[in-house]
Amino acid sequence: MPVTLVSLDNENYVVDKEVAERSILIKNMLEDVGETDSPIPLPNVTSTVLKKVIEYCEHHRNDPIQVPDETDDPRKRSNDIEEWDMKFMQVDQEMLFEIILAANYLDIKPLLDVGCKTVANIIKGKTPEEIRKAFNIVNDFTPEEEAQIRKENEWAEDR
Amino acid sequence: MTSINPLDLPEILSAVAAYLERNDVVRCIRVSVTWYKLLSPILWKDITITGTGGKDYFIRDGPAPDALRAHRDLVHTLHIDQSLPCRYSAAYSKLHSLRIKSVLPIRQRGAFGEDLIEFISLNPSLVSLALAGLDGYLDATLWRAVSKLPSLKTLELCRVGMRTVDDANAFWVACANLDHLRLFDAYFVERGISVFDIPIPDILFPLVTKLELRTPPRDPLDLMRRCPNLKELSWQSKRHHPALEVFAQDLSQGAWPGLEKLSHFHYMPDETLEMILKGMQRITALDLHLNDFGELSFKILQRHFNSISQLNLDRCHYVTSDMLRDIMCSCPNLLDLQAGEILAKDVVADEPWVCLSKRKLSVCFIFDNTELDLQPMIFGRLSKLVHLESLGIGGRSLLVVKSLPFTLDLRLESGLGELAQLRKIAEIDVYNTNQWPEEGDIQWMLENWRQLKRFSGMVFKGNATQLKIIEMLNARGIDTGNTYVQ
Repeated sequence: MPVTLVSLDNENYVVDKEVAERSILIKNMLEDVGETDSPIPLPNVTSTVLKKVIEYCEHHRNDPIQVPDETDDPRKRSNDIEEWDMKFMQVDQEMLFEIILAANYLDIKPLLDVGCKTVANIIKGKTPEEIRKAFNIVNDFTPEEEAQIRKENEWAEDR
Repeated sequence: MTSINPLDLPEILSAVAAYLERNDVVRCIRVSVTWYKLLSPILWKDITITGTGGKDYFIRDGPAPDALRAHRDLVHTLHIDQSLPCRYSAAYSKLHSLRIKSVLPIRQRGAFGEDLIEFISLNPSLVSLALAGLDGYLDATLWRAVSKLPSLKTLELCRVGMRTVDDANAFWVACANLDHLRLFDAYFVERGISVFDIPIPDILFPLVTKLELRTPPRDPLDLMRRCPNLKELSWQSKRHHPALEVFAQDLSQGAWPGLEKLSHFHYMPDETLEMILKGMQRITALDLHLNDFGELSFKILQRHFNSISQLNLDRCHYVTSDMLRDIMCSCPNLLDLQAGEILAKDVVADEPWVCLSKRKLSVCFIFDNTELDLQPMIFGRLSKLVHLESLGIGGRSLLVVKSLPFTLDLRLESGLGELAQLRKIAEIDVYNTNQWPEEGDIQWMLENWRQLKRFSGMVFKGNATQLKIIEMLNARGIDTGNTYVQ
């Protein structure tokens, strides 16, 4: 049965239920209301982002549902992104952020993971200044604070 | 049009940080005030300080004492190795685990004094305390401070001295509320005897469910009898311990009805092991590597095929291929199996393996030189174990070491490709086997086993292909630690 999703800017997208249910938020909504034809409003997601998210869900429609693994190593790896996902994530930074926010809001854990891994890969090996530049972050430390923080965390840097 | 930066949301920044190494996290901390606040708890949660030992105890790795003190409310675990604990003494409000290792007291060979006592007393949140390789001695005042820790559940001692009977008595009192006690050698410094060599005062340890003993003294049973609710026992001694038979007898008379996990190291005869296993009402985990586990014990183990989830029979020389085949075909909950050799022809002749949720498998498959066509079939069996995280195919027995027989061959041409669905594989061990993978085989592993962190035991003869392979693995951050040159 198809489901209609409505973006913030009122675009309608008709997708298979199985695809829509990649989003736990939508899955729970559908379970709550039961069989329904009424469109599902997603007021936090614009049409450009929603299109992209649907593309992801279509591609991964048959993936097994991820179960949280408690025995997980706390330090995870970010170099295991599948090729398709890697290409999918080759977007500008604004879109990357939008996808992460949408995945978080729609509760699509695998997509959120891929987004976070992509951000982690951008951060790796960069200096604080390069990281700020990459993500448009303002340095709001005073020079004194900066020196202090640098000093007290020196031990954790690779020598 | 985004107004929110997702990286300012705590849950998202933390999720990103989970993929970063420590030296990246530390640079992120310097990015902005928000990031500093969100990421400092990650950096300071688990702290290990390694000193240089000797007279000065310079810090070789870890934060300076004043920096640590400034972040003390973020610290959950603190390990101090070869450095002076007194330098770091403070109230860490969330400190869960404290481990102090390899230190001399200030006055060499004297008592660990006020400083260590103060350190312990300042941290009532401690759940786990480990003291190892301390060259002085720990006296009654220290143990009284330990017994006042309201949440302490785990105490681990390794090479720790006491001086008087009074010290030892105070130590046993401090153990009264624990549920896990590890005693790897606690002795009297001036008399050179174990704390077990004097009677334990009149105390019971009803809460202790896990007991680990190394080099047990003449009579470990006195302590064990005081722990009636034992679930898990680890007993390590260098030779056959005279108390094992008495232990078996007690066990069969119902002394520890809850005991279900046993680890014994090493050399216990099959007859004794049989008696012990007979006395266990339920068995979920056995670590018996280097014991003489044989036919008698195996018969008893068969009764527990349904409940056993961890089994280590590595280097038990009486374990046969038939036994292993039986185990693999009959234990539905066996998540972790380490054992010796199994004949490939036995595997393929028998029923499918029953435990498909296996996490760890370490078994050496042996092929006759006429049976190499069985390789794909063994790969076929392995391909069903989609939860496998660790695969060892190395040979451990002397037999294997002497004349490397044909073992599983990790190459695509032998059927490696069957293992594409083993996506959780993090560890491969090929110790004592002949492996001649080509670049293509390694490339395949890198593409399919994205979680691979360790590939060990490869014999490395230094030819160009092998150099390239090691380079490929290392470039992906995969540890080839045990790879050695021959």
